[in-house]
Formats: sequence, structure tokens, C-alpha cells
Amino acid sequence: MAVATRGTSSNYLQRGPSPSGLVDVVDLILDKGLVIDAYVRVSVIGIEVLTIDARIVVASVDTYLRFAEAVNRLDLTQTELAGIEELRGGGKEKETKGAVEGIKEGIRGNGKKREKQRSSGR
Amino acid sequence: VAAVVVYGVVEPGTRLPRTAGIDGVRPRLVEARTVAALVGDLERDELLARRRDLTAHMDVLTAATERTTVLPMQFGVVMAGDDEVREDFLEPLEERLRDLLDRFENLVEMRLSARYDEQELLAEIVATDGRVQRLRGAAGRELALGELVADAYQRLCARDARPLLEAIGTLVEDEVSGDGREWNLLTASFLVRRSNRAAFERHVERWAETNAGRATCELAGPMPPYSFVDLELAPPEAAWA
Repeated sequence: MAVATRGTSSNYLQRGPSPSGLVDVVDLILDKGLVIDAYVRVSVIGIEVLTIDARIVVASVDTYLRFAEAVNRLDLTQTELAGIEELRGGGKEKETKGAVEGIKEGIRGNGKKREKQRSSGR
Repeated sequence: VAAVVVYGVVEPGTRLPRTAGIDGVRPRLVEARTVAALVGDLERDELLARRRDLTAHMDVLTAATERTTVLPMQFGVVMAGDDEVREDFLEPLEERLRDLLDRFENLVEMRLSARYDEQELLAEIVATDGRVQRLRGAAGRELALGELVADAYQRLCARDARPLLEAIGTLVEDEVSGDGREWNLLTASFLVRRSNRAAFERHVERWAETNAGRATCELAGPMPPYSFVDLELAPPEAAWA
């Protein structure tokens, strides 16, 4: 899954035959593709994997509060806005990242064994 | 050999990808008249969804896509042996699988993931939205502020994605939106004809360039049509058959 720059190489676009992030890989091959239910046998185990809890509901109180926190902690002295905004809270910009990054990809390694053995649909 | 994992369905006689599959085992073909399964031998009878196994599954299918039309299986389809692959899968579904191979001939999936840089995006929102400026730092107004930011973010997503979607409109056969992760700008899979791929990629590159510095963009592919295959797509068997 190494990101090769085969074909094209622009500085703005990361390019590879497969997605570099595990979240995208999981989205494609655990959620999609042809399936014959009776024969899906996967154990999901341990820290390496995988319940992806990355779906963000933008319109939720939770999200509003996180967005507010992030924007309140935003340090505009680093931007062209410095002149029009009051210059308070200087030197806090490093903290802002953590505010939202903490929840952006909850890949929960669960010890649970998920075995799908549904009866064959058709 | 305890079992076989089924990676996907391909044209019979397809040249095998050189990629090592799950557990380092090279894939091989199980054929049934007009369709074939790309399978790998397993020393166990179920799979673990470890990163390296998921990656191996995807790598086999990506490599096969360089040579032929591939109908990708979901990760984790394990059958007892070649006979079961033929008798329980390929033969009963042969017509549908054949129809899908024809339908997806020369079509590949390209997946775009674009995310905003948080700092740049928030600065942009503050700079352009007077209401956000006024509520910023106001005690007790966090919910209202957050809602304004969320609205502004969603408007920006729509505005920023539109030029690309318009530009590639005639080059894609189908598209499916992916999950929106935090500060997602656009996550989507596109079904693209191989002959349109270069033009498609040029549009994506140009678009990524216009968003340089404020969003990171990744384009993956060509991959088999994970997001578009569905056994239900094939015409149902006649009721009296």
C-alpha cells in the first residue's frame, strides 16, 4: 500500500494505486465488494483492527461545541487576520490542533470477535 | 491447505498477478466455463482482519486490475476448497457474474479523499463570516458559534467541491460519496472508463492545485469497482426458470 508516484506526480495530490489510510482501505474492502453471506468468515481481533468510528455528524451539539472550541482557540496572529482581530491568546495555536484531532479517527481495537455467518441470501 | 480465500471474479484465462496474497501465498485461478475466481490457499479456515491481510487482499485485486476486469469480493470470503468455489459460487451465479464482468469491462474505481487543513479552514471562516467574528470568545455562546462554524464549513465544502464535480461530470460513469471524516472536503469514489482516466486525473490534479495549502488531497486507483459492484445489479432470473 506504499504510495507510489507512478503515473503522475503533482505536489498537490498524493497519488497511489491504493489508499494510504487504513480507514479508506477498510471502507472499501470490509464494507463493499461482492459478498456471499454464508461464506464470510472474518475475525476482527486485537489492536490492529478495526471498528471505524470516523463518521462525523456535523449537525450535532457535540460537533458544535468542538467547532466552537477550535475556533475560539484559533490563533489568528499566524494569519493575515492578525490586524483586524484583537491580538489576544498569542502562542496558543499549537493546542488547537489537538482539540479536533483527538476524535477525528476513532479506530477502536476491540477484542471482540465478529463472525458473520448469516444464511445465504441468494 | 485448509481452505481458500476468494479475492474476486475475473475473466477465465487471466494472467495471474505476481503479487503475493494473504500469508504470502500467490493467488491462482479456479475456472468455471465463462467466469473464474481469483483465490489463494489458506492454512486456516477463517481470516483475521489484520492490517497486513487487508492490504494483501487489496494489493492482489489492484494488481489484477492492471490486466483484466475484476469483480472484487468483500474481504473475508473463505470456502472449503476449489470444488466449493465452483459448485457453491461460480456455477450457480455464473450468468450474473458473467453479466457483471461485461458491465464493468474497462471500468475502474478512482477514489478521492480531500480534507481541509483545520487551521487554514477555521481562519478562513473567521475572516469571511462577521457573525463568527462577533461570537468568537463570547462566554455562553459556544453552541451558537459552533453552529455558525458548521454551517460555514458545509457551505465551503459545497462551493469547493463543485468545480471538480462539474469538470469531471462527463468523464465518470457513476459516483458514490464516501464517509465524511473531520474536516472532510470531498471523499468520493468514481467509476471511470480506462480511456478517460488520464483526463480525469488531470482535472483532479488541477483542482488539488487550486486548493493547495488549505486541503490535502489523495487520489487512489485504478482499483476494481469496490463501490459499484453488486450481485443485485444483474438482471434477476425469470420467475419461471
